[in-house]
Amino acid sequence: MKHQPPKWIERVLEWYCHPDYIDEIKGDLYESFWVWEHSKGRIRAQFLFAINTFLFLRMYNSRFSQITYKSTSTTMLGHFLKVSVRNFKKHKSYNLANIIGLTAGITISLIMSLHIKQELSYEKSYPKHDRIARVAMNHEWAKSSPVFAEELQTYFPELEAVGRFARYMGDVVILSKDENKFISNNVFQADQPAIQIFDFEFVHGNPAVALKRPNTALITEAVAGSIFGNKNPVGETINVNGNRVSFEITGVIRNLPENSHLKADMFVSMPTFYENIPQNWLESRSWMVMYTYALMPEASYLEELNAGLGEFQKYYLRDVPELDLTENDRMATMRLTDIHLKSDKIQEMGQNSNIIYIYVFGALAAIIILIAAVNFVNIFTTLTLKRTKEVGLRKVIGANRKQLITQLLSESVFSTVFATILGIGLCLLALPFYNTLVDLKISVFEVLVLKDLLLIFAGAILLGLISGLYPAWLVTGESITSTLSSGGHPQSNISFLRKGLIVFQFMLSLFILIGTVAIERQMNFINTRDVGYDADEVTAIRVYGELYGKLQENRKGIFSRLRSIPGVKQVGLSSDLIGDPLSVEGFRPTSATEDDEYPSTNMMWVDENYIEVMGIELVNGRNFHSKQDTSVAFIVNQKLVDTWGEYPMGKMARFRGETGPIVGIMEDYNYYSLRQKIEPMALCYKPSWAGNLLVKTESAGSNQTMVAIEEEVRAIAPSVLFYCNYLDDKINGLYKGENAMFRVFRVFTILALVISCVGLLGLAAIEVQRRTKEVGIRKVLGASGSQLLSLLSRQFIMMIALSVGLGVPLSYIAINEWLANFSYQITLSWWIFAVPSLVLLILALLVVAGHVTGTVKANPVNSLRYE
Amino acid sequence: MKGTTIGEFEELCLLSVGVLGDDAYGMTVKAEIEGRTGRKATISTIHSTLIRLEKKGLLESRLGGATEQRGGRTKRLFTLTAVGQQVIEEARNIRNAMWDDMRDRVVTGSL
Repeated sequence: MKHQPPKWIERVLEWYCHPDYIDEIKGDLYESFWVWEHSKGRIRAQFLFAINTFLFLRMYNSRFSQITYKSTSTTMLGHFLKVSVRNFKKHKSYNLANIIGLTAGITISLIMSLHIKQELSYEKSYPKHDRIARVAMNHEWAKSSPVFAEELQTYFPELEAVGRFARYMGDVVILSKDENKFISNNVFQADQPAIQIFDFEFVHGNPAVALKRPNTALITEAVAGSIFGNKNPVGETINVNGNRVSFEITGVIRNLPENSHLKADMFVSMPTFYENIPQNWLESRSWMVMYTYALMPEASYLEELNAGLGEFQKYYLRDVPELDLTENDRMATMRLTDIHLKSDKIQEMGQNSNIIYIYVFGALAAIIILIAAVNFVNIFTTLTLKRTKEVGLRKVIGANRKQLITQLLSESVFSTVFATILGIGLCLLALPFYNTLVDLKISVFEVLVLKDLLLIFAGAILLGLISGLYPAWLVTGESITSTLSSGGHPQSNISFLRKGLIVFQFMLSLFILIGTVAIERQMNFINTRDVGYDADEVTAIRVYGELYGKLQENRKGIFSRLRSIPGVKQVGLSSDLIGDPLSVEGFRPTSATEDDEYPSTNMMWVDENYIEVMGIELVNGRNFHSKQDTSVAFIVNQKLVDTWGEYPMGKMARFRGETGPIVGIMEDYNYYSLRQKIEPMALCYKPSWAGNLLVKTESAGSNQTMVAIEEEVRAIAPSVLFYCNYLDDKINGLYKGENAMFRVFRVFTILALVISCVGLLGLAAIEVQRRTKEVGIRKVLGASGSQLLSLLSRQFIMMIALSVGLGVPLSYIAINEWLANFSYQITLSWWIFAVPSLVLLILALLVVAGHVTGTVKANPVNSLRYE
Repeated sequence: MKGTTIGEFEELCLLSVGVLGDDAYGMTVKAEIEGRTGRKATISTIHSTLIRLEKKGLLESRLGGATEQRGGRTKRLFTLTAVGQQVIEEARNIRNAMWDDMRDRVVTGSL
């Protein structure tokens, strides 16, 4: 028996080919195969068979080809398209309003979906993202101690790696080499396993040893580019904050992804950290300094890890007698992919987003698309009902119900698909503006993939089908005589369904309107609330290198030089700025014994002018004084006084092995953001530890003054790279998320309202048109204008009133939920709900009345002659 | 008019069908063309051309003649229609006429 050609190839042909031809083609191919087999051998014959079979996949013999078989239903599609275009032209304004409303809705919800998708994409670009978890020493903190990682790895040998990051220096680090500099807010110390866990992509250098030696560092391409240009910087040195410290570069990695909570420009090797920190600190089991990440063998291992943490904690704290842990003291894990949206712990790497924004944005997108869809259904239904005559006539000619429904459905689907295409186009155009609005970098081409597009169009077709089905069913179900004889409208009233839809639509509009007002109130409250300090007109200048040295030598002299600049009011020093995470340390009176409990205290190191520069009020005691306070001294806040339970004024206190008097008590000022409650806090008098020079000027951003300050600083310390920022800008940055959300809300609420009103307008217009004759007759009989007005608008007003009744409680619940996120909240007063409701009512009234008045005023002769 | 103008390859196919008489189907037409011109043609190209010519009305076909090599499948056997016959004759006449004119010119020496 001779060999058979491959079967599966034949099957492709059988599937594709028209049955009329399949037999002869297969015959020819088999015959060819036979010839080839004899002349060229089996292998080549099979190959040729395959190629020749695929060459047979042509139009002329395809069973999918429409050329030979043209069904009547496809012929009719062309006709339907023509009729729908004519209908569109006939009611141009309604149809246009309909399409515009839907397009706007689609555009907005598409943009919001992109935003959400971007937020959800965080950390996904790390190849092992699903297997990485951050492990922290308790539920409140994001951090852990230096020894924690090693212990964790030993206790859980299944973990493939445990890596650590620790922030290098404070807030701003200036990297430089010769003339070139790079200002970074994010320099971390990292250890070798971190490279393995996060798979940093190396451009230069050896990943296996990059972070092993002290005083070496990895830089990103961005840093390498701006400092070293195009050449390979491996082996070069880079200066940090002037030329006091420099690191050898061991590698260059690709810039870290934008959508990651880990933002770093440089990684200094962990051995550097170990060289600079005293041994007893390194051995501390409670010093919160490291961000510890574990690479698990598989994503599901996290449960095992969580289950084992309790025992591990006992092992870890084995030296602590009588371990008594509250729920919050227990160790905690957090999946890497959850950090951006769900983690809001003390001392995160940076400000994370909040899952609540995803919900709010998702809800907003859903509401707007819902409003637009409801609108579409409503107007489309109304317009279809006007076409009963056409349907009747078609029936007379012989159309069956299925054909008629197909016609109407194809029209609605055509409209929704058209609106979707427009919406996608508009989304592409609008995205750059949206990006500026929310201060993000969303790129359509990165976020939107083919699958999403298919989904969007599937949604559009579904919407078209749903919105077309009801009116189509209604209209085509009428008997021929009733459609042709009566005035043309099968139902005398706006149906219950359409009323319900309008109510629903306005309820949603009201919901987001009230939401916007509430958010505006809350944000205003936060922005204008008395925070206990006055940071307007304060500029922070980074102190390092030569400037630091000069300040040590002659602080007084430099201060008076700066103060002599016109416009400068006062100059001070501090270790941290508003919004910086403060060092949290043990702080207790010297009289206390070891067993006494004292709360951890936020510490900041300042000079004698800080209180004055920041406008902080002293409740009791005195300010620091450079002559009196020869050693350390402290000023504590009210909160600390409350938690200590004893009046600390004048007491001696110990901190980091040094003792000094508590000389004053200050008001609780909000050193972080209003999202956090104020905790016990103390200012420590130690100017030599302060890295920021604070300059208070007369008026904010007066350029002349700023230029003069910069020149003066350059004159004092010529080698220093001047870097400053306005404290106000920094503080505003703390509320970036809320502010962006608020801007989005404001814009989209207006759009949602417009869409709703368009819907109402369309419905009112058609309703009025329907009752033109009735109005005419009533007028002839003597009805007054206002009577007619109330007659026509009554049911609309009722509908809006109903939506207010439903929308107010709904928004009350939602807003309360949102406000729970803030430590300082507005109280919800009645007018927050009343004013938007009233606005909505008046707006709806205007829309309806505006339309009705025209009909009411018209001469009844004209209206009675109508048709 | 559709069907009266044909391309060179189509002409070759028509001629082959004419030459092959009762046994003109995809494989034989392919062999004929390859044998006479030395060109290679794939079986699918031949088949689609033959079907096209049938649609133009220049060929007609019937099914028949299954063989073992074909796995027992039928052949589509083609024969020239009257129109097909006319078209290739016309093509030949046009060429002949042109050849004649060219020869005349060579003879009268105006080339």
